[in-house]
Amino acid sequence: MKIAIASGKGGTGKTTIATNLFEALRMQGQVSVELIDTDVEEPNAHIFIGGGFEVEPEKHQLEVRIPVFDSDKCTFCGRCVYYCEYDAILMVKENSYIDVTEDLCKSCGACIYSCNDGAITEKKKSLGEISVFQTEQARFVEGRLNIGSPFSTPLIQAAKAHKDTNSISIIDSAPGTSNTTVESIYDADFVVVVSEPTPFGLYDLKLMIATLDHLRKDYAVVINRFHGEYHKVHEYLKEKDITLLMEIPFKKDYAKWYSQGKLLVREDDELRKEFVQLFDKVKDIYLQKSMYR
Amino acid sequence: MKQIAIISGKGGTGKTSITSAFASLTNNAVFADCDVAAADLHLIFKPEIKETFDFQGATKVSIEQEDCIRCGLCFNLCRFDAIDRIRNQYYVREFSCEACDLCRKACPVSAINKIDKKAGDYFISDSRFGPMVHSQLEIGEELSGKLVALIRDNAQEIGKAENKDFLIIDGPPGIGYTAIATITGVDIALLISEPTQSGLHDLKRSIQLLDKYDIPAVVIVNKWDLNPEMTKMIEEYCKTEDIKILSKIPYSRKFTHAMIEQKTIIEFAPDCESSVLLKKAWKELVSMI
Repeated sequence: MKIAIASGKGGTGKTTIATNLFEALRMQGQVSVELIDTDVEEPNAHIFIGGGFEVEPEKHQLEVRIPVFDSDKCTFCGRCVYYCEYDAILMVKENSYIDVTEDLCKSCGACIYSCNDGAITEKKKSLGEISVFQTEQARFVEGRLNIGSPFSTPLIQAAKAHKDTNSISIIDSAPGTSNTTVESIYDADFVVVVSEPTPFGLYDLKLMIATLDHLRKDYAVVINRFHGEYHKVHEYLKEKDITLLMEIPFKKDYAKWYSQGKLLVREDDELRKEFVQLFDKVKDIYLQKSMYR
Repeated sequence: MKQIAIISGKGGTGKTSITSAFASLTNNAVFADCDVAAADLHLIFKPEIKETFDFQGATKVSIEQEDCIRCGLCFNLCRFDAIDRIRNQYYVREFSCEACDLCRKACPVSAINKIDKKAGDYFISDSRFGPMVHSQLEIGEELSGKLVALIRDNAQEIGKAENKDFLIIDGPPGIGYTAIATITGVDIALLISEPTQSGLHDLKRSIQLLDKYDIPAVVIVNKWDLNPEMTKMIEEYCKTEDIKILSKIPYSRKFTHAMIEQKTIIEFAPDCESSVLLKKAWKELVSMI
């Protein structure tokens, strides 16, 4: 079973929920569990669970191919420039000049396909790195985008491809409701949406719910850092008949532990039990819904 | 006109709250909401939309099943795994499609068509702080550097036409394409950080990104007192990188209370500690550019 943790807004606590759910299940020891960090621009899960994985990771570079032009063979016909949708090829016919702007190139291969003169070869360039940490009890997979890489979806796909099908996979996804988030949650069986009780949180939650409805996903919501003063997120969930899985109150201790890179469930036993219950609820909803499918 | 981008590596550090605080402190600026994935600035600005434009985004494709001869060329050529083969029929998986258009150009029977699909809207608006340009992407659409560039270009044009002193950009989190499109060519980038392990980790990645594009940077540590030791680590890191800490803002519920009332912190509590610090920070930021 694959559970994606998502949020419309950044900083609502996706990583907190993903890492603590992972740790609570790992500590309970009844299911085999893995965590996949697909927030590749800012992968942070390792900060919290790193201590449990003091093993050398298996590393895989995600390489893409970018064109190399041979200006002796090139006839400067311009076909590749026409084929490139990203304006990444700069050609000055008069000066017999042709080259690629690497930051714009998405490695689609259109230029090399289009060339009739054999003037284009390809070289490899790293887009990012996948690290797989494996201990006897658990697995952790992280995708990490190189700084300055122009796109991230292949890296998200690659991180997910390292999943272990026999485990419960918890997927920490990219924030937002755009293509990268969709790539993270596309094949999830269930989505846990993390929201914060503020006007920004509510606005972005609504966008997230619309996205999940569009994708026909099963989902439920966690409200994080609840101060007991803004109730509109609760009201919205009630009105839409959306399950509220869990409500985590704002506590200075939680903020402190989080800031130190500590897992809350290791410090607070009650909270750990709540996370196990959260998983049981998710499983129940998932099983119920799949009976009707 | 000077351009200021307010960004953060990590989400939820307070970019939009601080952008709107600055909006209260200048009366001659134009604003651009370039956090296209979670555009929230309008919730404080309550803009009056003057003009709405379609954003076309990248042109994606679909396969006409009646014309398709099932040769599989598109499936083999696509490097983004964006074409699914289901019972020997081929379909485009739209969310994975990077709109390179290779399959359409290569298809021997022209069975692949471009879809003209609106990816969102962008707006030119008026607000109590001045003109702003913002957007609303349709769900699942590509986080587009092109949209960020469009928003910035429009804001720049307005700023020039109206003789504004500043273009203030509320930027996206992260280090990806939208972040790159937000920072290129700005006069200064203000990074909003928070004193957490994640905050420091992401701050480092943002600073590396700014370094790569040679953009001057300053930092505000928000909610600094939630973890003074981490704040110290951020200060030390910034010192080694020769980056100025413009201000340290304490944790305050007033930011959320202001947000609930759709006000900036300066409007909501002009004399509170955060407001006083932000006024000072704004003055100093302006003196640096």
